Amino acid sequence: MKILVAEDDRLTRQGLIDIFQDEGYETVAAANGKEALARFAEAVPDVVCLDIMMPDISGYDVCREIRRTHDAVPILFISAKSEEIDKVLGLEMGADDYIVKPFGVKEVIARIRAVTRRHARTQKFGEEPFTIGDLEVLPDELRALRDDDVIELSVRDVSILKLLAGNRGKVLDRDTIFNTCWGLDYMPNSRTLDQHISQLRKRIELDPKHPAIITTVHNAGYRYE
Amino acid sequence: MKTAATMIATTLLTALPLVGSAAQVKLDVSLANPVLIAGKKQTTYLKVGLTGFEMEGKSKRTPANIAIVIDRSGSMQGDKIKQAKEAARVAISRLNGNDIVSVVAYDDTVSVLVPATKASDREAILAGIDRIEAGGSTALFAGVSKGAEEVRKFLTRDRVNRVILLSDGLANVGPDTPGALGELGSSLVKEGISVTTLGLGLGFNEDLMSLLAQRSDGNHAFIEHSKDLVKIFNYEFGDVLSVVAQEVLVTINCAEAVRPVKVLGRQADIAGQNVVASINQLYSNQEKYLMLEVEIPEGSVKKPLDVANVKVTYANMSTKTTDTLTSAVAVRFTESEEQVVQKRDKVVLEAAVMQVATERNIMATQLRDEGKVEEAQKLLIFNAGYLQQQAGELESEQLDSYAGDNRDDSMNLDASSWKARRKSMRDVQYKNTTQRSY
Amino acid sequence: MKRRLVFILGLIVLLPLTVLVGFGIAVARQEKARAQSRYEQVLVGRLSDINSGIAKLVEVHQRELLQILELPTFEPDRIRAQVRTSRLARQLFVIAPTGDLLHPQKGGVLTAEERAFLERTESLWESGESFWIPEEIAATSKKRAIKGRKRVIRANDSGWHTWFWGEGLRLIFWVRRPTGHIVGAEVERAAMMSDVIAQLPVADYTRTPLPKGRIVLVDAQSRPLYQWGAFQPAKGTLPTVAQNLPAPFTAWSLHYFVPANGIGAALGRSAIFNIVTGLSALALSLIALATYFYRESSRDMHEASRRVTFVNQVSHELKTPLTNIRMYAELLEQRISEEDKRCRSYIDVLVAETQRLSRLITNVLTFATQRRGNLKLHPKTACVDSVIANVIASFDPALRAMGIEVVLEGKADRPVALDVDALEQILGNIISNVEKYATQATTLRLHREQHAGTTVVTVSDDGPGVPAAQRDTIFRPFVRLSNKLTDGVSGTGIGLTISRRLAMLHGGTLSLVPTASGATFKLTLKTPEANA
Repeated sequence: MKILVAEDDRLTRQGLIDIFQDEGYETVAAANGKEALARFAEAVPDVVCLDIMMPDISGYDVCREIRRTHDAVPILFISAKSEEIDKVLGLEMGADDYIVKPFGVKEVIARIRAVTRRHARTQKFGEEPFTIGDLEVLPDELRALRDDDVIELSVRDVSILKLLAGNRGKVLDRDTIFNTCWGLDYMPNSRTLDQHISQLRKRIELDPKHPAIITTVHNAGYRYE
Repeated sequence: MKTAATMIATTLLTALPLVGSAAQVKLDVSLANPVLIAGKKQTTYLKVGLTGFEMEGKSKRTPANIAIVIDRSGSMQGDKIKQAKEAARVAISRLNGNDIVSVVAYDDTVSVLVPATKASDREAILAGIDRIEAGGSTALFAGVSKGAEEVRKFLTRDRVNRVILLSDGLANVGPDTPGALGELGSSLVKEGISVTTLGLGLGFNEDLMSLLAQRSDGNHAFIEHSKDLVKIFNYEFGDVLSVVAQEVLVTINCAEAVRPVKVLGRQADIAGQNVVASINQLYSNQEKYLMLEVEIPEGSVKKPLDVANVKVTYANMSTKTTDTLTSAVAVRFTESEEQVVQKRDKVVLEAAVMQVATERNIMATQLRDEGKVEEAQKLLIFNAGYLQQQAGELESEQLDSYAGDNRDDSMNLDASSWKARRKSMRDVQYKNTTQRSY
Repeated sequence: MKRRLVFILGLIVLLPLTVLVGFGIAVARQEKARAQSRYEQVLVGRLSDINSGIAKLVEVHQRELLQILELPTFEPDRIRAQVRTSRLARQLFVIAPTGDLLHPQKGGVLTAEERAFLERTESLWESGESFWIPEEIAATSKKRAIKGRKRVIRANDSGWHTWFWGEGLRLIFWVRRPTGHIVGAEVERAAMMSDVIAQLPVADYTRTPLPKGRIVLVDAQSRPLYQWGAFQPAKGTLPTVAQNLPAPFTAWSLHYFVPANGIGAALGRSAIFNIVTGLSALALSLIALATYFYRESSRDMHEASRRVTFVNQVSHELKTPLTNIRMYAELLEQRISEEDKRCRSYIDVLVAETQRLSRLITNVLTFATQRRGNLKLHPKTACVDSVIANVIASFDPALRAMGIEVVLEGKADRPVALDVDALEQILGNIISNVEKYATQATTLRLHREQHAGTTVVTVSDDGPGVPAAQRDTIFRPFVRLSNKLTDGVSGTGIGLTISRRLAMLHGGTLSLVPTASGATFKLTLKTPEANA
């Protein structure tokens, strides 16, 4: 999954990129409207995250331009003014959702997942649901089900779980997981992986302190038994 | 005057007995038929003729006191007002320092442009005339009243006091009937003021204008074309400047059996045997006369009959005295018709015929006014025939010419030419009845 | 706001001006009427002058006529001679003391004029009414007159008599001789009229005190006989003033016409001018005053709106760094190990403070938006409980630190049409008040109810509560509870104002419920159930 982040504030842009990468998205960054359109044409991302207030071409115009050729790609607007939402919705430019500054990480994640989910549903990526432990993972939904509980998952979560489920009983070392789920160009950082797994466990394990689905193999990696 | 009429001209020298006879009005009383058929009641005409004497030199003429009253109503615009002003200018140039003149102009209001002033003050007078501009209605009565008022300022018996009115229109502000203007004339003449009315063009009311003139013993003339205005004005001034006698009062006392029937043409009071008439002014070397129709009783060859005594009083402008002239006339009777014809006074007859014919002409005018065109025409043709016949008998060119006039009149009774014809008829009638000189 | 100001200022100018203009008009009218009447008096005065001139002329005429009537004998010829020389007399007559006409005698030897006179005057003799006898005497002595033909005789009695014949009014002037004979003259009407006219001013008469006017002498039928003056009245205009002529011309009158605008112009102009000038000056000063106020207040308004705009912009500008602080703090939080409690608590503070700052900014912006009248809600399908959970979660660290326990009661979990941001803001403001003021509280209770399109959330704490005196004012802008408790506590004082406004926009209310202790806010929102 590839996401285009168009935002003129460098720090916000970088923070959003970090969040999205943590979520398991590939990211393309643009600092203004013109660049956004150029990057979009090059990379053809799956999702676009678009700031409205940009110095050259506004987010509205970028959106309109994108919609001329791609009417399905989900677009998430970022706005500093709540009034602007009127326009986003009112102009029916086909924006899928919006977030208003100042926003929190959780809100961004929730929104981007919702957008991606909707997109995946319509696009029918055709990823089959699979089970891992007592969970039924629905990749297109970015969700996992345990009985009646619904567990929200990120793109990366899904890919990790899919990797583990596909290699049941095998110990997967950190490099393998990294290369598969983060991509080769991602600078490996053992703590990143460990933390991610830790966060994931909190959500999917019944008892995160004694994980049943993702077990740690000391000095080797992780394993699904 | 070769007839045998007795003429006694007695001058009662009330003031200056030394004045020569040259400065006396000539009184001529004569009958049309000094000899009549005996034994038969007949009518004839008695003529009282008055001829002004000659003034001695131009400087000695009677000073004039004249108000020129000019109609400046809208209809006078253009050539008329231009000619009127020119006429007034020319006339004024004939006056001298002894004369008094004033200029009044009226439309619906009246302006005294030049208050009565000595004629030597020519510049002011001419400036006043120049100020006349046409426009508005016609307050004729008021205009004449104001003119008379100006004359009144210097009203003396030794001046010729006259208002000269020049109008082309009807009176439409203030009194506007011939009767009212006639009354004004009657009253003015008693003050010694005459009004001469000059009617210009075809728009004026000739009855009103002529009556005003007649009652005040002024002149009336019809001027069809404004180019003739200067000429007529000049004539009028000629008259004015040649007045030798004024306030002429003629009293005819008829003999007992003689009945005064009527005075032809002129206004006169007939009460019983007395006939009184006044003539305001006599001009130098011009005769004015009074024509009285008298009924003579049966007479016998042997006994002449005194017909009437005539007394004339007048103000002599030369001597500044009031003079009295008396005369008497008698008639003789004959058996011979031939003698009657032979002895008749052709001059008196001519005048009498003229007056009779004029009366008929007036009657024809009246008939035409009433719409009786055919009757009017018949009367005019009859009149023409009568004049023609009399002209032959009396060898009179004047009658012959008037016969022609009447014939012309009879052919101009149709609507298109009547307006102008009526005015010229009135003009001639006026000329005949008042012995106007022009 | 601005329009109202303009309206009020306009009223301030117009109201007194209208009253004064009304008053001015009334005064001007009165003044004009007074001026008109003064003016008319002047006109009447002029007519009176003219009339007295005519009266003098009549006197002259009378004297002249008396002279004419001094006949030495009643001989017809003598009388005729008199007529011939008297311009004023058209005809003379003599009545014997017996009342019989001596001259001109009917059936006598008469001139044509005399006969005409008898015809004209026939009605006078036939009527039997003797005009030379004063009416009152005629009335009392009628019987005797018939019997003995005796008449009250007064020597040198004289008088006028008028009658109509032919072309109009005719006049008789008569005098009684000591012998009882009445000697009279039919006056030459035209001569008298001519004299009257001759006496009247001419057209360009300039000594009139008034600039323009027309005086018309009219006869009994209102036909003009003579007129003068430079003004030409329109046809059918009534004269400004009119006056009858003195006897014997009483049937005639003088009509004075003046231009309509000339009346006010001559005398009333100065008064009207004064009034108009006064009113104009007043209007100008009122307008100047209003303009001054308008400028001042619009400058204030402009200033205020500029301030609002400034705050608005600053607030928006603040949002980006705030986002970054919050975002990075949260990102940091994710990276910090669970064990590092102190570090985590620091990050919690960072996050909580950014949230507080963000609430403040949101309140400021909402207030500014409301001031501009642009405040709008954007309801979408949402669940009240989850919004509440979010809000509680955001306050969780702070409340925990203060030892306040959050108790949730009831439920509101149906999907409804809801402006999530508004609800978050309202609840945030209420809870932040608890955080600010109810420091000693131990419990924060949130009761939720939902039925028939309405959601009621009651938020109560067991803190000090709101003093009774201030319960009414806390919802007003910029009111903060000014007692010790608020000391050192920051705030803009607009949180509750905004919250109530948002609740009202959401079709509901926000009120302070009176309770024995603590503070209880009841929030009611109209929340139509979301279909499907």
